[in-house]
Amino acid sequence: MRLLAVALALAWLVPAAATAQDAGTITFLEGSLRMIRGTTVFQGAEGVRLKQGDIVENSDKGFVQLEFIGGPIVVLGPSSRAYVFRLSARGNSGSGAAEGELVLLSGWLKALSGAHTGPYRFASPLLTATTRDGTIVIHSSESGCDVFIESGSAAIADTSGGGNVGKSTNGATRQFFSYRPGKARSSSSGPSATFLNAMPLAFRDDLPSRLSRFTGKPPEPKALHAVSYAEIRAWLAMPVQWRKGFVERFEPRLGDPEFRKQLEAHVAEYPDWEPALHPN
Amino acid sequence: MKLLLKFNLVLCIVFAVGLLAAGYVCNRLLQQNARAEIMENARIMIEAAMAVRTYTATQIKPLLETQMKYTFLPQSVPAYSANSYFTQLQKKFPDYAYKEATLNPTNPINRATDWEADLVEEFRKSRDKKEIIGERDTPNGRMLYIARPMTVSSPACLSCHDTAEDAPQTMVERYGTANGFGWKLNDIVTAQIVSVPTQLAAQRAKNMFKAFMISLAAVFGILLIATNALLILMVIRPVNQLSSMASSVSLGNSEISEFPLKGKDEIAELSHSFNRMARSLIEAMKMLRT
Repeated sequence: MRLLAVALALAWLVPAAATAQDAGTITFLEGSLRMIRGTTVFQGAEGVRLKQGDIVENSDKGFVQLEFIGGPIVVLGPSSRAYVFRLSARGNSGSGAAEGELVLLSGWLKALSGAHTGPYRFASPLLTATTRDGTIVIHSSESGCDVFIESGSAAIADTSGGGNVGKSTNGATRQFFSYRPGKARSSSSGPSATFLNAMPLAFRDDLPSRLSRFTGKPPEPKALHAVSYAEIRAWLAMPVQWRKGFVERFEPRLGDPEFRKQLEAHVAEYPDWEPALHPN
Repeated sequence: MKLLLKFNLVLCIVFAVGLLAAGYVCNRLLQQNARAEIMENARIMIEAAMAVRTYTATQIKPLLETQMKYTFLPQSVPAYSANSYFTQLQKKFPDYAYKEATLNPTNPINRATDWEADLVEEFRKSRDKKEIIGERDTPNGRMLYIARPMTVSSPACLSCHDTAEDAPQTMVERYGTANGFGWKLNDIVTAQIVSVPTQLAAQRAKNMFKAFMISLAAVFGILLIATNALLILMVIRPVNQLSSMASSVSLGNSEISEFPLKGKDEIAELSHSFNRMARSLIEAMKMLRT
């Protein structure tokens, strides 16, 4: 019984792998979008369904809108990388609202949550924002992370190196949180000029839903090629909390000598791969 | 004095009096008309400014609500739109000026000057007054103006002009909290004023007056020439010929030919009578000689 309880608790932490559960839909795409599903790289297109575990990467002039089932409308700006980490069907009873977690590895993300959505977490390597009724904008890069609460409210917390979420602070409309490595998190009323100038202009507008245009049979994304090491290197180096299950997911790629060779050259960066590379 | 001279003298006097009278009446009418036309243009401009304001408030501002959370956009402000519209219009109508003179504006550029504030107060005292037209002296000359009151007619206006706490934060960051707040619904806070130099109406009337008088003088001139030509051809020349023939007969010349008869007018009748008289006289003179 105790084992069952532990298993159930762990199930909350480990993302459900390859359950083929639809998480949402790509409802707008400008530029090109690369999707990594399983071990294959696909070309994203409007109408394509998203699944838990999908990795999406926008081109440098790209703009993509994702609408999650029972969840928020999310827009990714140019050169942005996100990972549909977790989606669960739990939520407010009777509302059908889902909870979920999206990881923004780098780039720009704007998310609109409404009355119909459950709490959604948007994690970046430095800051994490959780909201159920707000609109937030996140910018994540190696040099820092900024979160602006455009409307509503959100809980903001530091993200540890392992991907765990620290103690959160409640933020209100127009509060701006900023984190730079080596410095304490700061907050102010209103976004900084640097943030405003860098933010994609389109982020200043509303996020209207376009889901009603995609009611028919969804198109299948076009498969391009098996994922290479270079394409997932940054994802393999994510905080350990987020990359749980990646070894099992990408292990089949070890059959590619080039993939194996490059992974072995950098195995010190991801020691969790050691058992898969050298089983004995 | 010759008949022609007398005739022309009288004609010129009559023409001159007529020209003066027509000129006086015409000038007054043209001045009134020019002023009325200018006021009508000003009214149209005010109505167009109101239309632009309404369009901005109902269609543009809602589209910019989210963007306004990031940066203040003056394009969302009806007064800004009205002023921008008029700036464009001024390229075609440079003599007109427009201002939404406000007692307590957000943007100090719209603050009412003394005389403008008097207009607003006048509208606040007499709420049934829809328009005030007047003239005033300025360093640039005398100005004609038309002013209309603007009322805080919609609660939407108060989203930016009630309290600083309720106003868009980006607007407060830009303009501060000291101005443009405390407006109340149905208050008259602004006078829409279109101004134009009175010289414009006078100049327009003058141009039309000049054209009219030149045309009238030209018509009089042509009439003078035509009547002179007719008089000479149809009266003076035949009368001179008749006079010459009468002299000839009176000097005993019995061999003169008859005066040629043309037409049936009074000169032809006179010629006919003269010829009869000449024939009778010549016959009488012949009878006396024999």
